[in-house]
Amino acid sequence: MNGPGGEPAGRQVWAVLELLDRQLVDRDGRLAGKIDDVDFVVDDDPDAPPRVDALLSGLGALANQIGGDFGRWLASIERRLAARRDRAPSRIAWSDVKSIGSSVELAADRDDLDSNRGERWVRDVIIDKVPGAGHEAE
Amino acid sequence: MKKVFGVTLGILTAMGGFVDIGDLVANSATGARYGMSLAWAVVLGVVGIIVFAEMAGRVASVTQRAVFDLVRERLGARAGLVNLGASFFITMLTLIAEVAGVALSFQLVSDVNYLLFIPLVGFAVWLVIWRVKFTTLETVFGLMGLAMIVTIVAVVQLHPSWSSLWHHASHPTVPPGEGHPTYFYFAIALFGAAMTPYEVFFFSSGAVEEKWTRSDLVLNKANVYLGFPLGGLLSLSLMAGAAVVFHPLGVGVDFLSQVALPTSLALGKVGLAFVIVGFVACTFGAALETALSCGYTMSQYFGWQWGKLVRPREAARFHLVVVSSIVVAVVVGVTAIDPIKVTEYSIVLSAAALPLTYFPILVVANDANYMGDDVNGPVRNAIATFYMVLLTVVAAATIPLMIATKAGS
Amino acid sequence: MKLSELLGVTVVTTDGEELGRVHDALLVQDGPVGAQGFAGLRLHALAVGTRSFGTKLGYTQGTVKGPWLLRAMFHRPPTLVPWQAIVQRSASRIVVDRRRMDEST
Repeated sequence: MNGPGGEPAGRQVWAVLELLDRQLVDRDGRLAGKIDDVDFVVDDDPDAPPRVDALLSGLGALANQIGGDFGRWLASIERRLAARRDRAPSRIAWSDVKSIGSSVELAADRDDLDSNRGERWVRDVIIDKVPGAGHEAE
Repeated sequence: MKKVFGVTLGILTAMGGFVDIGDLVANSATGARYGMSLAWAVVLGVVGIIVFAEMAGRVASVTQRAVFDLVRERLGARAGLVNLGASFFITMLTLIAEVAGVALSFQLVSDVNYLLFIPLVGFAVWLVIWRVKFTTLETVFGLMGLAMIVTIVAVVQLHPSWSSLWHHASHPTVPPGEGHPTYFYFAIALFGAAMTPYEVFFFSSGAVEEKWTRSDLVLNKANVYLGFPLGGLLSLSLMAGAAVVFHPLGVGVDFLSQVALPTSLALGKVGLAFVIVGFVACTFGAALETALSCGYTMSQYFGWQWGKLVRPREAARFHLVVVSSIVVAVVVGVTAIDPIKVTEYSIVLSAAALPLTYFPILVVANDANYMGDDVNGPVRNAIATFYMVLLTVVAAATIPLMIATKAGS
Repeated sequence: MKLSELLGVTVVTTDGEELGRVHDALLVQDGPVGAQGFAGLRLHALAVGTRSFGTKLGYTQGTVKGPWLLRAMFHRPPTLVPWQAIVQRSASRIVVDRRRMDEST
């Protein structure tokens, strides 16, 4: 634990440079979206620094980053698509993160991630209907 | 031995795949109007694409990250989105031009209106992307593109005054009666035709598709240092052919059939057959590359799984973008929009958009955390910085020149 | 509290001096170890500066050193504001106590 006068121990990570807009990779090596925002939890103790609680990925979170009128329009689309779900969308719990490097690796399978539901929808509704979709890659 | 074969194949593929509808139109039209006095713009563009592609290929081999992934990472979501909008639009415009180019090439042999070919071409492009292995697709169309070598043979066969051609190329002047703005507008078009952004999206994503690693950096260099200049030679021979045949007559090049004329004059029916095979290979190959690039850019920005290296169902949104882009290209194409005009706009706007994608790659190529010892050396950085400045100047000049010259008329 | 709510926010001192806008956050990995054996990240300090373009390139944070021209254009060591120095935070501005800033650097 570091007090006001000391250099912090432990690895340093720049949130914007090293987390934001970084590629998420699931446990099978599949690409699972980008980190669009980071959620912190602030403890009651005002001197205790906030902790990273979750990574946010998905259109709603991306809209926050883009900001402005366009961002608000994107956010409204996401809300309409999310209308029927109660869970907070697009959260990847910090406990699912395996490592941080040039990409951020997760311990979860991307099919289990809420932020990846767009991919699953396109796959089930469109792509799987075309012959050869399961064709083995080289 | 296998390594040598792989390298040779890579060089040949890069050479054959270098020319697309933009190069066919730009080099011929320029040769007809200005003779060889804009050859320097082609050389400048070829060196530029070598610098750009080498960095993008090296970065992709070492980090497994392709261009648009890094564009968003280094510029942020907002600037990255603007960048995506511009790059996607221009790549889509190029796809429309390439699909029309394939159709026009078929029209040359069959006298059937090219509009009827467009939907078939679109379907064929999609089918090849859906089913054919990446390496096969690249190699087959790259090698078929070598049929364009017939244009070099044709120029020799036309017995031009080599000293006169060389003199015009090495002493560039704006011909009397031509304005400076139009001269430089054509220079920008040639530059944009040689340094197309989709070429780099494809090369960089292709390096990841083919699973290049640090040990493939030699292959990267061979493709780029030998394949691209040889491809540039094909561009220059198109310019020379038009310079010899059309320039003395003061005739402009407005149709694809005219691009084939110097070759058919010099080598007859056989020459014409080869050059049309070359046209089809080049434009179809480029259509594949631009359609894939539409998918690559959008997927890499949003972080979706992309590429042919996984089953289509595992990269669902990527394939949706690819097929949608092809559908749009077909729909726009059959409206009988002038494909030559679309080609001209696509290459000129490409020149304007180049700094957007060049800049992040230059930065990452200097990031020792990512590249380790494979960062840019000082000499490469000097050349790369020169091009950064040049691209910015060109980009700033493009739209004003386009308006001032009424798109080169 | 989201990262996007911190970025771009104007930072002023209690004396009214404007330090710039937040463009990055320095996290330190010294929190409790999570399920994957990976320690949690705590927000240690905010990076504040006057530029907004080019902050993600790597020049300000020092990870990219070349080429010379770009480094000259974009390299600006950021002002670090430790989290403890913040006395007030709202959606549009963050007020910091200069004395607590100087103690930590």
